Amino acid sequence: MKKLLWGLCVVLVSCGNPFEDFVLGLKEPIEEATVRIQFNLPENGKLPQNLEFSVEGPDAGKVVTNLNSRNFKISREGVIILAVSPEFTPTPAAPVEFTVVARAEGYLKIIKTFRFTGKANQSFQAQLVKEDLSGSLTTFQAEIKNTTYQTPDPTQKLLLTVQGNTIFRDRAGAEIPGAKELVMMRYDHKTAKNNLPAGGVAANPVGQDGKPLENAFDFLQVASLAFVQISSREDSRVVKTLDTPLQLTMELNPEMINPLTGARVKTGDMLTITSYDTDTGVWKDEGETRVVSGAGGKLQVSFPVPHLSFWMAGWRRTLCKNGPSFIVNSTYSGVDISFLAQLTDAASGKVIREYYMAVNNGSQLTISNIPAESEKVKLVLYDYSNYHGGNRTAPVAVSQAVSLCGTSTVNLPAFKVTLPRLVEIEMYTNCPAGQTLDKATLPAQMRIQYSEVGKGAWRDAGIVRREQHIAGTYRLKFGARYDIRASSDGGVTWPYQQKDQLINKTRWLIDVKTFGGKCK
Amino acid sequence: MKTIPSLCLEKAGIKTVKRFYLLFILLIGSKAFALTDSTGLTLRAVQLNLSTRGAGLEVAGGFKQPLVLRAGVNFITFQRGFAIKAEDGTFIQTDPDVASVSTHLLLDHYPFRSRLFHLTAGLEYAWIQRYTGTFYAHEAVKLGGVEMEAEDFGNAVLGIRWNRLKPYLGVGLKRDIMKRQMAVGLDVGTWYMGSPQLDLRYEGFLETTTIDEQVKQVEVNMRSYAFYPYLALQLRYSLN
Repeated sequence: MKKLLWGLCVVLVSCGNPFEDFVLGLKEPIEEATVRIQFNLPENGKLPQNLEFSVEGPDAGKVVTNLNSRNFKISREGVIILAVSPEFTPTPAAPVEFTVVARAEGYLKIIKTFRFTGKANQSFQAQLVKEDLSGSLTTFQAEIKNTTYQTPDPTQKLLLTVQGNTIFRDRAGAEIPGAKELVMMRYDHKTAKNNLPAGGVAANPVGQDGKPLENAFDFLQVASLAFVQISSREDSRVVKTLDTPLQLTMELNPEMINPLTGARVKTGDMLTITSYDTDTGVWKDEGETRVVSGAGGKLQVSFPVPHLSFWMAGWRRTLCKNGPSFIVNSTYSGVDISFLAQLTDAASGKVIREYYMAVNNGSQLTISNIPAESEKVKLVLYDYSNYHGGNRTAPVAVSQAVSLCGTSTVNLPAFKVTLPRLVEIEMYTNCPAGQTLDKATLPAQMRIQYSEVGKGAWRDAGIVRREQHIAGTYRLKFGARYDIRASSDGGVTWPYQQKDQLINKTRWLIDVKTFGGKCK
Repeated sequence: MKTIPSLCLEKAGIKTVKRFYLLFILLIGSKAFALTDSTGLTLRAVQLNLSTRGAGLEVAGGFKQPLVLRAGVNFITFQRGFAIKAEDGTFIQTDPDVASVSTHLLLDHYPFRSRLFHLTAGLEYAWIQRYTGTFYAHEAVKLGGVEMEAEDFGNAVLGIRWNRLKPYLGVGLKRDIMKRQMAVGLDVGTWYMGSPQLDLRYEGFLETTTIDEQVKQVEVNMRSYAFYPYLALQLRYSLN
């Protein structure tokens, strides 16, 4: 009996501390073979509530978030970072290819394919655009059942004709059977130029025969920019080619000015047709077409479309592919802010283009893809930074004149720009006397952003890492007050904040004792 | 801790209510069965339990001397939320959701002539066992020198699960044949529940942490949390 009672006592008091050896650390984000997808926030700064996001394709199983999770969730700031799982190594011989699909009721379906052949990172801006818009941007979305489709804008329609007997094929040439969904977007001549893919600079274009063109080009004016996407309803496979081309008709605004003639566009004017493949990044010269008078006397251009991508009609201009390089002479290093530099015509002083350039000694700004409209140019540097502003009227340095087209190297002295006080950011734990920080226990990385107090306009301040737990920045202004926040997951979420902080120390401490940061 | 059955069982669901009343009817009905049973099982007492398993009801029947068979039901529920203080006057809200409804069958053995002290062994089956806590914040929370908006803090739901079938071993003080119409009784023992399994679901900043690995560590640390202490006071009514 005594033994029984003793046994009972033992089992009643034998429980240990459940939190023994409990250390809450931070996951280490994957930093190679990632794609950062940034969605716009079209619902008053928020994502649509019914947004569905999925990863499709044969390699979808090899895809994780950058925290090595299969929980694909977009942050409330519209960011998700996907990565090839560390279990797989993408190579040119064994690439990893997958497609992300995002759809929300009332919005155009987004489909984007990513292909990884190595460890390089990618990024993608995913634009959630409302369907059935009318105006400068007009949109349309439907299941393919008929032969003709048009965007809802009554004044400048985009019309698409599908041949009933055509066969739809994916990039690999395989037929895509079954039901299909069509997405169309059209920007008019007022907005097209600002919405061209890849900045509208065809740096390495190809001709109609697929061979590289000698000169790069951009656009003087775009009369109409169209995006056409057809995809399988079942598995979201995207149609790339058609055995019988589609016919695309763009109605034009008769008020538009032909930049070559300086007069309003009219029947008989010639427009160049260009396509841009978003998957391969290839600009292609698709020839020319003549403006004709269509139904109801409306001006229009019409042309066959054998492959799907962006298509634009307009007027091009030739660019200098390679221009001069300007190399900075200074005493600076590790400066993470840039200063205003204007490329000006050496003869007239007219500003051709503006840049923000680094001022660290030896840093280089290479000019490329500039319209060949000046013979000699100069680079003019101002004491005006992209973080703190300054004086943008009195130059602090002017380079010697150099030919715009053709490679050459010119020095630019940048000794006179004014740097703010350096502020260091440190991952820190307050260790008791006699102990020091065990760096091995620090979080792998902390990205730091700051904003003016209460504004929520966040800008990067720097990244502190386990290996380099102190980072210097010139982006914070000494003596100013900021809201500061930190992210441990590569910038997807920013849960850790310090509000209304006065930067009155040259070293700013980020306390990480809650998440590792042990003393030894 | 509240143990009022009607309100609590409403939350536990209609099925629970049905199961409870079915069990109650069976227990009461067993008196008629016992009195006429040819095996010699004689219903001797009905008793109300107030124990570490909540409130309950038991019937006890004489079996073969010196054995007594007891069947009963226990239920417990607790759902009152509270706030845990974080730093600088900020709080983490905690909503516990504890609900347990179980039935048991116990066999008492009276080794001494006094027929007061008994050894007990038996089994319990938990029809409902829900032990969860939800953690979230109404407003910004400060932890470890940093501040988190309520939305960034997110929420976490921690659940603990044990075996539904639990053996019991214990001792007690109560007479097998009551000398008075009303009496009190005492049971002390332990239920063996098996090692607990933790289930943590969360949204918010915990998604960026190694909490999943740490939950496994806690589960290991809690392996010894396999025994549930039982202390029961009984108010007994003799049916003899």
